[in-house]
Amino acid sequence: MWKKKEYEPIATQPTAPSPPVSRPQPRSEAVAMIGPSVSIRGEVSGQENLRILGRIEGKVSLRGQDVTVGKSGKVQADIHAKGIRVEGEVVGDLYGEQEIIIEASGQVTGNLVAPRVILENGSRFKGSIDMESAAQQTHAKPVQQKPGTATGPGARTAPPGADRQPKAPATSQPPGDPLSRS
Amino acid sequence: MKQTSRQRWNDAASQLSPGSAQHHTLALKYVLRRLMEKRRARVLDLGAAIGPNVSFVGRYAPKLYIADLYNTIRSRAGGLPKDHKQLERLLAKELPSAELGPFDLILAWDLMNYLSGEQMVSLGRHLARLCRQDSLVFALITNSKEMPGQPIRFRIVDTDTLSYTIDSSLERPSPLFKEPDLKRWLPDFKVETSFLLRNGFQEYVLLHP
Repeated sequence: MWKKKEYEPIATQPTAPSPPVSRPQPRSEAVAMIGPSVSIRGEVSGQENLRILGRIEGKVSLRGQDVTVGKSGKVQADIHAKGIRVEGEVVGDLYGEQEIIIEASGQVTGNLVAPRVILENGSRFKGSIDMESAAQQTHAKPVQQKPGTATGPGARTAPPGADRQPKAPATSQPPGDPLSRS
Repeated sequence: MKQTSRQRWNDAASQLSPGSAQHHTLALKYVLRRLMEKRRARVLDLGAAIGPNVSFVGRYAPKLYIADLYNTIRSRAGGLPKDHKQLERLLAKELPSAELGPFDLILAWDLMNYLSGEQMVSLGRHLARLCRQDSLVFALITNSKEMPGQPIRFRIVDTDTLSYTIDSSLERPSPLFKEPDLKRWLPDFKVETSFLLRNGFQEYVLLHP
């Protein structure tokens, strides 16, 4: 008898259909990967977290997402992301909306701009650390999409011939922020 | 049996903090107190990037520059060049440019022990260009006859304590610089105060007047 009761449907009060509510889209937890044999020259942007195991020369812009430069990763580019973790080699400026972590195996030559910067024991770093101007970076305009730019899920490489211009001079710095550029 | 400088260091450190490679510092608190008087202070660290130092100094100065000077110059030139012009070129390249300064505090650690008088003159001239009036330099000069083969990596434990890591198993004679040497080779700075530590180091606070 008790078993039967167990399977009885629970009586519920009829309710009026609720109006459609716009729910915030859950942030993508997907992680795109640039494999160890992949080499990219150009700009990389998108809406997914990114793990870089290959080579990138250019610019990486994944605002609101996390970027990890794996142990085999070699990046010669500025990186804009929510969180940046470096286990490999980076030559360029890193702009983290939340934090930048350089792991023990990581080597960075460039400038770090983030509210929180963590250098693990054994990591190599040369450049400036700016934990003050990060708010300016966080509220900076999103990067304009340019022709020949790799973007979006699945699209990661710039087309042939879209080689990146030489690294921008100090003019790309936020105003009044001279220390963050060596 | 001859005691190495590493053993002497450990012995000296163990007197202060048994079982750990730490030693007391007096000058660090002194310079940090001065740093707190500055608004939006900037710090130039001539040493290697040490995570806890970045976190610690970041509490006092939101902007800091890590030069890792000794390692960088050594990797580029195989050592600190004796040739004056070559050293000048390297210092100009590896130190931050003047527009990035001025810095309120320069952490030189024990780098000066590894420089000759001429090299110290060059470094001092470059550092002076990165200073403002009242900028301070924190330097450790050894009073021991021998010292590790390359600069020690100092880690800030707290305002009163430094811990250290000696990377090199080799030793070399130390230059045994004295205060008059610093005055002679660093004419753009004056010794504001100094503290003699039990581990054989003399901590100097140099002022850019």
